[in-house]
Formats: sequence, C-alpha cells, structure tokens
Amino acid sequence: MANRIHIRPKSLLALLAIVALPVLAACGTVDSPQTTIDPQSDVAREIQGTYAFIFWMSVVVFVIVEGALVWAVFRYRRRANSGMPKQTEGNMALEVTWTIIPALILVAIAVPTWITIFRTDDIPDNAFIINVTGHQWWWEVEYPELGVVTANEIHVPSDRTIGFHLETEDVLHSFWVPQLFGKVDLVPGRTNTVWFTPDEGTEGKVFLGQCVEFCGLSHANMRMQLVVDSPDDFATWADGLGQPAPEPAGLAATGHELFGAKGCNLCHSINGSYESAGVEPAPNLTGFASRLKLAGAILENNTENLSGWLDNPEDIKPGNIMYREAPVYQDPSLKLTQDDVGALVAYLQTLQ
Amino acid sequence: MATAAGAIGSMAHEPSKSGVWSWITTVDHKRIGILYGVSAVCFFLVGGVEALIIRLQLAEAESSLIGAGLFNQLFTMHALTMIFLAIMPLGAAFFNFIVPLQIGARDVAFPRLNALSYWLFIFGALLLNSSFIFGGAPDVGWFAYANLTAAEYSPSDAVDFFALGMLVLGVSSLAAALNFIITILNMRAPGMTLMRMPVFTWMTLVVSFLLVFALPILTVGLVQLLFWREFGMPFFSASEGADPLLWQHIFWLFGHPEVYILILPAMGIVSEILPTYSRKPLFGYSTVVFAGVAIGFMGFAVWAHHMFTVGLGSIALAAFSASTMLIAVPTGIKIFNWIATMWGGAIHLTTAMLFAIGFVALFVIGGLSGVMHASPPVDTQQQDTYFVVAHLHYVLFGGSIMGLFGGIFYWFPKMTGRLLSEGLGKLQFWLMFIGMNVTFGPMHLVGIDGMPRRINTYDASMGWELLNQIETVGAFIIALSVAVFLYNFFKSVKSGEPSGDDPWDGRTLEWSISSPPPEYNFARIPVVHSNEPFWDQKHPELKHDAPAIAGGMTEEAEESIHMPNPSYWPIVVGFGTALSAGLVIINPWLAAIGAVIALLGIYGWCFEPAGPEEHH
Repeated sequence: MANRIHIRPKSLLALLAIVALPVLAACGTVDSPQTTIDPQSDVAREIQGTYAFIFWMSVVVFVIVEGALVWAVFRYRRRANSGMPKQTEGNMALEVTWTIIPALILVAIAVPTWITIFRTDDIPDNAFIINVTGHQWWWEVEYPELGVVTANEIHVPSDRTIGFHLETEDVLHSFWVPQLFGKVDLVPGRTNTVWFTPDEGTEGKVFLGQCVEFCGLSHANMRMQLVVDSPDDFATWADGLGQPAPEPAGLAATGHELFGAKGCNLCHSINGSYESAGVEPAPNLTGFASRLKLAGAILENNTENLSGWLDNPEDIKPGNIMYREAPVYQDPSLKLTQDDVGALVAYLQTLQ
Repeated sequence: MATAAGAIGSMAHEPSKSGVWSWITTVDHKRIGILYGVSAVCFFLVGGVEALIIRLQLAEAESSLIGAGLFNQLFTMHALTMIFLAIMPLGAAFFNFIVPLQIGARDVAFPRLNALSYWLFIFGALLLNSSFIFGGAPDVGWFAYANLTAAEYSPSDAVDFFALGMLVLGVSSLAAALNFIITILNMRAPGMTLMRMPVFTWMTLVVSFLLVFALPILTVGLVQLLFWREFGMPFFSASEGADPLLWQHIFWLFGHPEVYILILPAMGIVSEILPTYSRKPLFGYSTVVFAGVAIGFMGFAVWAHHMFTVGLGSIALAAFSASTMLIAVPTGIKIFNWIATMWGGAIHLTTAMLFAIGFVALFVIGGLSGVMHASPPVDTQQQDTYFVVAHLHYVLFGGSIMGLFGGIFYWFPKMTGRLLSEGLGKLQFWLMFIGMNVTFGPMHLVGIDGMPRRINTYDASMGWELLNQIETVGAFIIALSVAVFLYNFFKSVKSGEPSGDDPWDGRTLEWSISSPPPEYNFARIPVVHSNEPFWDQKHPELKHDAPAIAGGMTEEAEESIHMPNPSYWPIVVGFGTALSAGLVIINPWLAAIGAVIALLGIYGWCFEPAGPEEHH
C-alpha cells in the first residue's frame, strides 16, 4: 500500500505528551490548598465557569489543529515514490472559512467573558466592608464597621457578602485568595475593590492567599489566611479584638515591660496596653496569640517559631523593616537576650 | 587636525580580510550577521544558566540554595537576557545575513550604521550585565513596575543599570530597524515588488516598523524613570499627584509589540522552511503576509491585557479583552496556512523541518492559553502565576527559540558552506522538544494550583514541590539539548559535510548564489518575476505565467562592484555611547568622557574617505 503510514514510537510518545498536558491541566491537583479551580464563593464560581467554558473550547481547537498538523506530517512524508507535489498557491474559500470560524469561536468566548466582567465588577450595596492595606511584606486588615484592626489573618462572617477596599502603603501588591476571588492589585493612590459571598459549607474553613505582584525582596513571604467564621464565631472574634489585653503576670509581665522598654511599641499597637497614634507602621498585635500563623502568615504560630522570629527575623523574612529599623536589631547594646526573647514570647502568647 | 585626518585615511585604506581586526572593522552584512548570531548564542547560554539556577532553587520547597536577593536578580536578568540579548539579536542575525540575499542586494543600505547597531548591542549588553559586578543586577522584574523602582524602594544602582542598559540597546535596535526598513524598501532587485518579497523579508519589515514605533515609547519611559530616580521628577509618584500605572501603560505599549518583535521573525523563518521541505509554495502567500502585518498593527491595541488586575474598570476590560481576542484571528490564519502548506506536499523531515513543525505545534498551545487569559475574569486567576509563565514560554521558547533553531539548521549551509549534522540535529530537536514540554507543561498545572511567579520559596504544604521537581528535570534536558547543539555546531563548522550551494532545493534568491556567498553576494543583480524566483528558474515546467530570473551566480561578474570599506569608527562610537551611559551611574559629569569618545568617533566616521572602488 503506497499510502501506508508508519508511526514511529518516539513520535507517538511526543504526540501523547502534547495531548496529555491539557488534559492534566483540566484535572489539576485539587489537593493544593491554593488551587484556582475549586471555587468556594459565588464570584470564584462565576470565574471558574468562564474558564471551564474557554478551556473546553480550547481543547476542541487543540485536538483539531494538532490533529491536522500531525496527520499532514505523517500522511505527506516524502517517500521514494513521492513525485513533485501539486504547486497549490492558496484557496480563497478555505482561507475565508478558517478566518470566520475562529472569529465565531472568539465571539462565543467573548460573550460570557463580558457578562462575567459586568456581573462581578462593583461591590453589592449590602456588603460587609473590610479595608486591606498592603505593606512590604504584610497585610493590614481594618474592619471600619467594628473599629478593629488586625493583620495577615482575615476573618469574615459566613452570612454576608464581603467587599474589600484595597490600598497600599508602599509599592504595588496584589490581593488574592483564589478559592474565593480573583486577584486585584493594590496601587498607590487608588482604592481598588473586590468582593465575594462565601458558599454554604465554608464555615470554619481557612483559605490561603498571598501577594501575587512582585513587591521586593520578601515578596514570597507575604502571605495571608482568610477564615470564614459562622456569624457567632465571627462576633466573638471581633468582640475579643475590641477588648483590652488581659493584665500580664509573671514572665509575661516582664515581657510586657520589655515591649515598651525595647521600643516594640513604637510600631506595634496592642489594644489597652500600647495604643498607636493612628498610623500603623507594623502589624497590630491585639489578639496575636489567637492567630494561626506569624511573620506574614509564613510560619505556624508556636513558641519555637516565635522565639526564632524575635531572635533573627532577617533569616526568616529577608529585608523586613523590623530588622532593618528596630533599635534592638541595629544597636548591639539593645540586642535582645535569650531571656528577653523568652519574656516577650510569654507576653505575646497572652494576647488572646 | 590634519594628522588625525591623515591617520583616519591611512587606516581606512587597508581593509583586512581575516583575523580579529577584520571582524572588528567589518561592515559586511553577512559578517555582522554572524557576529550577532554568535553573540546571541553566548547570551542564550548565560540566560540558560540563570534559568537553571532558578530551577534548582525551586526544585525544593523552602530551599536555601540561593537567597531571595540573588533569586530576584536572576529571574529579572534571565528575562532581560533572553528577550533583549538572545532572541532579538538572533533574529537580527538572520535579518542581517539573509534579508539582503533574499532581496538580491549587495549589502544593507547603511553598512557602517549596521556595524554600529551591533557594537551598541554588545556594549549595551555588557553594561547591563556588568551590574552583577557593580553592586547587584536589576532585581525588579523585567517590566520593572513603578513604584518598586523608586529610589526609596530600590536604592542601589541596579535600576539605573536596567534603564541605561536598555537605552543603549534601544538605540542599537532603532538604528538597525531603520536600516532594514530602508534596505528592504529601496534595495530590492528589479522586479521584486513588495508582494514578491519572501515572507521572512516581509516579517523583517514588519518587525522593523514595530521597533521604530515601539522603542521610542520605551525610551520615553526609561528617561522618565531615570529623571524620577535621579532628579526627583514625580512621573510615577502617587503622593505627588502622578500615577505609577503610567509606567505600566508606557511599558506595555512598548512591551506588547515587543512580544511580536520576538515572534514574527520566527514566523517568517517557519514560512520559509515549511514550503521548502514540503516542495510546495506557501499556501496563501498574501494571506500570510497580511496576517503578519495585521498582527503588527493590532499589537499596539492590546497592551492593557497585561494590566487586567490593576483596576482598569469594566469598560476598558471589555474593550481590551475584545482587541486581544481579535488578534487570535490573524494568528490562527497563519497556523492554518502553514498546515495547508504541508498538506499535499512531499515533506522532508530534516532537522530544520522538525523545528518548524515543533514551532507550529507548541505555538498553538501558547496561543490557546493566551486566549484563556484574554478573558479578564479568567486572567484574575492566572495573572502573575506560573500559568502565565507556562504560556509565555510556550510562545517564546516553543515559538521563537524553536523557530530560530530551525533557521540555524536551514541557513547554516548558506552561511558556512557546510551542513550541520542531521543526526545530532534530530537528537537535539527531540531532547529540546521533550525537555521543553517537561519544563513548561507542568507550569500550567502548578499555576492552576495557585503558585505565583517570582517567588523564591514556597511552603511544602502547598503541594507544588513534585511539579517543580519535574520542571527542573526538564530544564536540564533542555540544557543537554543545547550542549548537543554546541557540539554539533563546532564539529560542523570545522568538518561538516560540504553542502553545495542549494542543499534543500530552495525557492528564494539566497539559494541561487554560492555558499558561503561572495562578499558582493550577487555577481549580477537578478531580475525577479515572482515570489519564488529561484524555484521558478529551476522548475520552469511548473509555472506557466512567469519567466525565470535573469542573473544569479552563473552569470559573469559585472565590470566593477563597489563595496563599502571596513571601518573601525562604528566600534568607537558604540563604545563611547555605552561608556557614557555607564558613567552616568557614577556621576553624570563623567559621562562626558564617553560622549567625547563617541563624538570623536562620529567625526572620524563623517570624514572617513570612501576609498577607491574595489574590483572583482
């Protein structure tokens, strides 16, 4: 048979690799905690719907185009008996066809895209507003309705639509919790917004996010957690933040004194003990002990990590402003001893 | 002054034909093309080593192989090196060597300016890379977003090296682009109308126009950046009433056409390779040409798709998503026409052809993922993640690099008179094809899993480690393929099989002359009657409406061929300009030293005697 096609194993392997990749991409590995394709809010599901539609359209186009390419290569391989091929210079009807069909496919993609853009653009009127301010390299989180401030760990009530007002204190950042909403950049001089309503069944879940606009040395260490609380839990949590810190005793009392003596309080506020004059150059530590993570949500909040962080923050988060500017790290005479660190840890762990 | 002029004169009258000096003073477009090519491959290796270090760092969660500071320098310099010092100059290598041959010209319009472009490129590249020695390389990402680049947040000189290095490289590209526009528009052989130009020459013309329109935009931005940093002019400071987003608009208004500057040369190469090895004309020549021109035009109307997450507002999002999707139409047309070119052909699967087919196969993947983030809501999940890294590497590696390697295998015989080994070439292709998919394929997945780009570390609990390890293995497979290429290259330059003048049964004019071509290219300037003049000459039986070309290699040389003399003024001007830019970083007044050297060079250049005509 003159036209018999010989498919060599290595070619077939390469072909399989090409075909397998997008299929794998469709599946993804959903066990990744920061996955973009396991939406848990209305807005994220809307985006995922658009993505899935475009993805499957792309798969169809991919199979047709790569199929035609591979077919042409195998079918028209030069053989001993290949004569001079017909010198076809073009075909207007064919070319018009493959101009119009892709254009129609793109219109089909554009329509749901536009619908999603306009459905997800403005924060709904009834939303619960949270102000987020980006800093190198941590997130300041303010609840204007409640008058409380926290950092890196955002709690939201499960029964409300949540709207974020996003600003930055220094450079560009980007705010993103992929299972709940797409990313929005924090731009100097602007207030950008994003919103979502958590799905039912998300109560008690912790969602991961992180800064996704390159923002300098420790960009990789600017992470956050978003906790969806039941309305009651949220009220309790918010109420706790509003209360003054408990009176420390023993070692914690020493730590409390050191917090002022060493100048920690110049940047960090703690309700009822060390209150700021308004501007917060560093994370507000009220309720610190109840946070899951520390240092920009990169380490588990436990004694060992906290001691390590106070001992040598530069190792954990290169370039951080605390290490660069706090006297205890820059002035050898003020350096924290192991006892100081122990006392500060004891104090910070009382801040429930 | 008289002695200086005398010295200039005596130097210029002794054109040397070999040795280092002959390369330094050459104004021959073919030699400049080879200089561009060899330099570009060297920088490709530098950028590759940077990529391997990045991949090693990311192969392990919470790795401490290199620190965050070095990591940030490496990913910034990897991008700058690959884009401006490898892919662009590799394209320029082919523009230089091939375009004059394809249009039947004896050189480019301005040979000394051409040499200056090369030397500016080299010195600009060295300036940019010297930052590694002088206090650290740029570490703000290749698009260097304001306001991270402010003096306040980037106090070192790294950003100044970025701005000044890019300015020098910009002058180089701008001069080259103008040279090629003028060459292509004015120096075509008689009968070669625009619609008879080879597609590679067409794409060179489109790329040159893109450069001429896009580079001044970047230049404005870079000057603003320098004035902002050095003199406190508040171009990008929100606190002073300006807007850091201005930089993003300026950068991407340059940066998106730049993407087409990187891909269109490869598209042109593929449009030469596919017909040759299929033994068929390009299917829909005029459609492919118009599609390329359309991509060039539309490339200026899509820049804000790089900014879908900055808060543009719904109307702008809808408009820019529409224009971005629209650009997929001419791109699709090209793909279909390439496949149709092979359809019904007699496909010879040489290494060059494999690279061209690989280009089409991989570019389709990059194109489709591009359509995905043309949708702004989808982009909010993909922007700045590894999904975008995967996309851009399918376009720039799967596309540009594969296409350019195809060009190397296709035209190497024309440049050297020898063939690259086909066996080693195919080994390289398959290693590179597999390595590239193993490296960049999983990046789609890890991006879908939410891994941001430009992070030097990640937590083991994120579930990204295995995919990153696979990517790192892939990167080393690519490295192996490049090693195979280097071995093949050096072996073949020395002892490759002689190729003859027309090893592939070529269709365009460059195959009608000897390999390597004589200094004057065409003994007699050919007269052209179709867009595949050499093919029609060889196969008059296949064409009924066009007479064959006249002239070509078989004809006797014309009585006298005037060729430009070698000149060392281009390297002087290039060195002075780059030195001046470099000295700005130390002290703006010191820059005068470089400026004086450059001005002396320009003076010598202006009064350099043309010399007597050479006779061949």
